[in-house]
Amino acid sequence: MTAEETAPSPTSAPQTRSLRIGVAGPVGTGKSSTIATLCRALSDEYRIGVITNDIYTDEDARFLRAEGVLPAERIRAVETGACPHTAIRDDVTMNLLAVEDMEQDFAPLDIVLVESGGDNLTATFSPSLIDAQLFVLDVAGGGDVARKGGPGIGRADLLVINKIDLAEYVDVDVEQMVADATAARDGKPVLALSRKRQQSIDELSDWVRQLKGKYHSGEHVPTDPGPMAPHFHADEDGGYVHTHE
Amino acid sequence: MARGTEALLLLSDGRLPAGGYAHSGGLESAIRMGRVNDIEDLKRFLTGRATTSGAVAAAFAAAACGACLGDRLEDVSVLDDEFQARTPSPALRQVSRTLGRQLLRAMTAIHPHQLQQRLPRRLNHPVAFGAAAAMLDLEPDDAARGVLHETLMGPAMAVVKLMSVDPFDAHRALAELVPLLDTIAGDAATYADADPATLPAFGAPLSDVVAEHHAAEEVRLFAS
Amino acid sequence: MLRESHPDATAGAHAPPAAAPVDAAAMTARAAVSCQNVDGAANRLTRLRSEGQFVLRPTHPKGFEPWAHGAAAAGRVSVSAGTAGPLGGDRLSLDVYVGPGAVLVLNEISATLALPGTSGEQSVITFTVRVDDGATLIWLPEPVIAARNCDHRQDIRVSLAASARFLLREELIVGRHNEAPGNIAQHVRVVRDDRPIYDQNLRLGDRYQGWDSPSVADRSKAVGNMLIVDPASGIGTNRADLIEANTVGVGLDDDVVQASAVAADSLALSHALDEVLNRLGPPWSR
Ligand SMILES: Nc1nc2c(ncn2[C@@H]2O[C@H](COP(=O)(O)OP(=O)(O)OP(=O)(O)O)[C@@H](O)[C@H]2O)c(=O)[nH]1
Ligand SMILES: [Mg+2]
Repeated sequence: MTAEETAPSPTSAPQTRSLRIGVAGPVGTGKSSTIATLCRALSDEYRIGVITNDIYTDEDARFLRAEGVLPAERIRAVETGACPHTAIRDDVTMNLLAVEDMEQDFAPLDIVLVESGGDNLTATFSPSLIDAQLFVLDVAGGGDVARKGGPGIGRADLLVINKIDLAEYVDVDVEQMVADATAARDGKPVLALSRKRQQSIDELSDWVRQLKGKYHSGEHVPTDPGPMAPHFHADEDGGYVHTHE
Repeated sequence: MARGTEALLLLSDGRLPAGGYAHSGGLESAIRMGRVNDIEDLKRFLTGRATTSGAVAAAFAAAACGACLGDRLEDVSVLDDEFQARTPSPALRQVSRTLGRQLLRAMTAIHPHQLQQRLPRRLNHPVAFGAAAAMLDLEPDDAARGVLHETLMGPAMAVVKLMSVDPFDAHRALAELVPLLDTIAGDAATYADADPATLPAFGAPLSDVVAEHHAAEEVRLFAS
Repeated sequence: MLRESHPDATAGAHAPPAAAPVDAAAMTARAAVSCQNVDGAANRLTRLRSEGQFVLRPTHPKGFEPWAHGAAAAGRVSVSAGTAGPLGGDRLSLDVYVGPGAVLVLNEISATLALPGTSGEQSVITFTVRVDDGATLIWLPEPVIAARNCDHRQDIRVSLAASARFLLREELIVGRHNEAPGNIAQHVRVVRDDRPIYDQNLRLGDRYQGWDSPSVADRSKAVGNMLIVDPASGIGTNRADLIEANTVGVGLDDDVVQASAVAADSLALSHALDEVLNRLGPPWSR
């Protein structure tokens, strides 16, 4: 019998609880890159772990390991069986166990980042899994995305508008996009980010530091961005729309 | 039968948040290997799964439920070892342990119960399922039915994401299997108090083989 | 209902030996072999009892022997068929004992052909095997062929001491060449140091609903397994050998390897299992 098998029952919460931050957003907007950026910027200050969620492969975990921003064993992948939004909202058990295991195996961890499988505009994390969430959009998706709203854009703890270095190539006015987003979010924070602009990285890092402080002082209360709207799944058969009640 | 029906439905509903949706019960790999191409193949797939892995899982769930109800927790560990001996694929062992653990984790939140503190941390899925059934005051027969249902619902639900089939046809295949499933579950329930060593051990060699291949795939939709 | 269609469903690992056959023409036979380490010679055949179907003879190496190849200090026994069959209704058993530190290689002269009897009853062969501490049993039976309409069952119960070494290779063929499959159930249960390490009841043939499933045997004519226990060898550590689409060799524990193979015919099956051994390297392969 291994130590693991004789360990206490699954109910026993990890000895140390990290700040758990979810990173959601549509496919390719820069979730993994943002996590890599955060790890690079903060790994001297905090002990960080990362859980990635995958649809077909463990590409994201591999990318992050290859970036060398964390010890490879502190990056783990969860397979979500073709349903990435389910894994972060309807049925978080796989992710929750992955987070708890990570906290237990590398205790004490300060922060665990959970990357959602790239899905669509409506997927957000359940507060039963994470304490706070980032929603990542990019300028390449077009300047009007932020106005389209949705629970992630409207109510995530932080909205990141990524790849602003590309704005000029895709005819997006970053200031306008940030203003639209801020309006859509009733003033909740919006951050224009590029991994090529150190100042934006510093702002992102500061936001995490502040969150960490508020989390420990009890000021931060996890909030649910809200239910998903009906959404569209692209697949071989042309896709279908469904809701999650 | 009336007693506990609702609890059984709760426990065996695929929407119970215990991570079952990420698994296809070997179907993805069977399709990839060209062994399942149409609805007739799917029906044979499900039939064999029911008479082998399903029948074994059902007997173990019934026995684990019986052991928990009778407060014979040492038997739960023995059952777990016996189940592992009947699972000659390391990939499937891993899957079963993961699903078992997820179910127990979900149960701690859904229905706190003193058994949760006293059970081993790692249990194979059918054993965990039997224990969860006991926590919900269900009977061994319910545990057998529930786990058998889950064994087949996984692939029957996954198929629509893996192959072009009519979802009604997938459910028709299940409906046609109902009499067989009733028989298997009824038989499994008779193991509620049996010596763990005597539980069924029906082998499914292709399930073992494809599970290992699947685990080695770089690109896959389902975890198993 | 199910019990009727799968009468062995409840035949547990510790089921008592099958009752005497009803059919007067059927045979009951009990054979035994013991190999012990006597005065430092690990190969003494201290018991060799032949009966009925089982004719046991001391023998010489027959081709390459996994692990024991070239070992002079190994007892070698061949089993040859004294009669045709088993036939439906037969109840046969073979007890094998390998004493502490002894080495036995057990093989067969020819394949076993299970045939239907006149009574329609099942034929049953029971093997009861004990391998003691520091002992080795290399068991290489020839294929068991289930002829059309036969109903055959083999119960193989193995008890290994913690430091026993063991190889069992099983090859089941349903139906002779161009023949409809017969029915065979082979139940192997291996207990090591009193803990179960392998327990599989493989059921093939139309009597067993679902055997033709893509999740079971998919109508393949040949199904094989191999179990290798080699204490402290590390042969099983992280092993997951994928050999063609239908064969795998995996580590069940650091020193336990199991192979499953499904093939179109006996020859392909034999090659597949050989390849599993090849991946283990010497002394398990050439
Ligand atoms: N120019 C530029 N490209 C970026 C930036 N951040 C990410 N990218 C690129 O955007 C692409 C997608 O980035 P990822 O971080 O993999 O995006 P993701 O959201 O994790 O993607 P999925 O996990 O597949 O949904 C990659 O090619 C990145 O190099 C940025 O700040 N500027
Ligand atoms: Mg990513």
